[in-house]
Amino acid sequence: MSEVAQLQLIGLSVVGTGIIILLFVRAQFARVIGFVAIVLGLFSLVALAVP
Amino acid sequence: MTHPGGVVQELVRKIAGSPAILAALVVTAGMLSLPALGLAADAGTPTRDYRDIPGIGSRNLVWIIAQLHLLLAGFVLGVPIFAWLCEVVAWKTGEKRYDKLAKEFTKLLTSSYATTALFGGILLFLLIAFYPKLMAYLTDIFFPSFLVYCLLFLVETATLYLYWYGWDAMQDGSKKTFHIFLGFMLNVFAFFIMIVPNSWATFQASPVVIAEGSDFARAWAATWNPTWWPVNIHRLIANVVLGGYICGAYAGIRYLSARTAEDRDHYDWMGYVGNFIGVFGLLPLPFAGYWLMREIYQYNQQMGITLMGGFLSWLFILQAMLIGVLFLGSNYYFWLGITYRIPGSEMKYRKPMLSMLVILLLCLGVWMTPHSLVASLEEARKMGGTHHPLLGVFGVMSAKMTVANLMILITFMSFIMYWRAGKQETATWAKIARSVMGAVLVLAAIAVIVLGVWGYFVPAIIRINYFSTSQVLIVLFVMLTITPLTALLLKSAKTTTEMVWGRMPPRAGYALVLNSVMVILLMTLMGYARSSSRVHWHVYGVMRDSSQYAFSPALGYAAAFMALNTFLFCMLVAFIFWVATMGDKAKAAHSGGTKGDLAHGAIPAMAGASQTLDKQV
Repeated sequence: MSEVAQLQLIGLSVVGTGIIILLFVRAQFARVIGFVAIVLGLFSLVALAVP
Repeated sequence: MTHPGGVVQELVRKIAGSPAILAALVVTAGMLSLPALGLAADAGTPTRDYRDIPGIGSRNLVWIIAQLHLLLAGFVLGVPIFAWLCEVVAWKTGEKRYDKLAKEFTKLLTSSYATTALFGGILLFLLIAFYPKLMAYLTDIFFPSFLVYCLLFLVETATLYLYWYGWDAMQDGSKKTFHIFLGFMLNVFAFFIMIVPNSWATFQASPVVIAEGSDFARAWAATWNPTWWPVNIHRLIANVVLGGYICGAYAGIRYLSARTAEDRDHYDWMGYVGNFIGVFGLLPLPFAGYWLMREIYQYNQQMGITLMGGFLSWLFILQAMLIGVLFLGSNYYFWLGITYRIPGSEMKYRKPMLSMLVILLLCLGVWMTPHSLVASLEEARKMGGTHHPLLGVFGVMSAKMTVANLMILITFMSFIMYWRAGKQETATWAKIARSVMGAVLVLAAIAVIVLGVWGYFVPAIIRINYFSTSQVLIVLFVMLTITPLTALLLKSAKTTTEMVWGRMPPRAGYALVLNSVMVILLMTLMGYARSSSRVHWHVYGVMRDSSQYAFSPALGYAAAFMALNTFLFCMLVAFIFWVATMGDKAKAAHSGGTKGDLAHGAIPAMAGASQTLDKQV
């Protein structure tokens, strides 16, 4: 697996974790962490998408 | 009632809450390490130029620690400005809640100051260990400023102690004036603490080396390098933005967790103040960034091209995206405030808000358009080259400067709209003033667009020197004209609708968190840009990087580190907030009652303290 593919997989996992937290966790601080994880994961994926 | 894990927490709080101990340790370590570096220099070339560690690698480790240190330093330097401004507002207006807010955030300084010093110490040790040759060279040049830096640290620590511990004792009359003066001096020393290391970092990008003269003369020449002042001003403003938005994010999280009306009111108001100060700094920040880039181009055109036209050019598309989201988030929070805090304003301002949203999105679209598209051979043939016939027009600086200025104008309009909502001007000259303000805004927007379009038809040097500068001056003129005029107008205005706090929807809290994450990501992104612009040089054109890491990491790989650093910083700040407020919660628990039992405003809601959470404990 190439480095880019590995990083994309990590980014997707981070976004997925964030979504799962927002869907299933009720504690507010954890939900904020989930939200931040989605933002950071999306940023990484966008950065990986540019040439 | 016992506090869970009380002993450990108390120990952590005491250590983290003693900036003098850690600062003294770091300063002592720094002082002790200087002779070692000097001896190494005297003994000739060090035996090893570089050291490495397996796994993560020396450069990545230094990257993480340096970034965390810089972000913490930005927070530590931004919060005193924020706190001092709040204290001055309280002093001038007599509104005690601003004084409480200032005190809450100064309290955070003690623990965050210690953590910043700790990371500074770790960074110093790592740099000495991994880059002995480079550090010996820099020490040889900057030795006098190292001593100044140590002295500044000691003075800053003493002033912080006086400022924090003297807060309650210096509340009345001339004592309060002296306390305000102490806060001012705290910021002055903090400013110098910022600009001294800035000289070391900017020297690496734009070195000025003189072979002759005393140690002091060489250090001074190296310090006053071409990018030093642009970076100083840019970082100073950025620190205000960081401090404001982090305060906003903290308030947003507390607001989301709050269950009582008092908590919701308090943290809603705190979020408003944080966002206001963040936007206040954000508006002039792009101008400072533009000045910095201009100086870089003037110093070395190749470095400028590497940044904006070379392998880092796509980084600026990411930067546009982050700044765009930040502008959108800040405006969105203002619009939510108008809608929920000022009953009856929603219908009145719905159409202007929608128009502003459309303009902001269009501007963002233009800003994010790259100059060269990544296209297949067939696509390139159809376009007639790598530049799209229509979109290619938006990919140049003339278009980007124009939309950036328009976005600043729109955000400023949002702010003015929020300020004026729920008030009716009673001054006899109100109608004329409104007409003048409207005319100034419209004419300014037209002038910015005209200059932007005209910029396509003149040589680059004319556009950079005159047109772009004029655009900036026009927007600054608008801000400097309309702000005092609105303040004068509202001085005699009648409040038609009282602002209602604590009614904001949860998405407002998330908007505040998003804004702070964007600011932190921007700082990490531009840190990478600044460092990568030196390409394979430690000190540009003077000392070549001959290590195995003498290459700039790809943007995607770097972005993963930026995200990691942002996350680590957020966790560190959360930890600092938690530690700083632990004692207050324990005190409240020991005092035999809950805060919720007390009347609203009877006690300050200390930072991190949630009456709801205290009840749950």
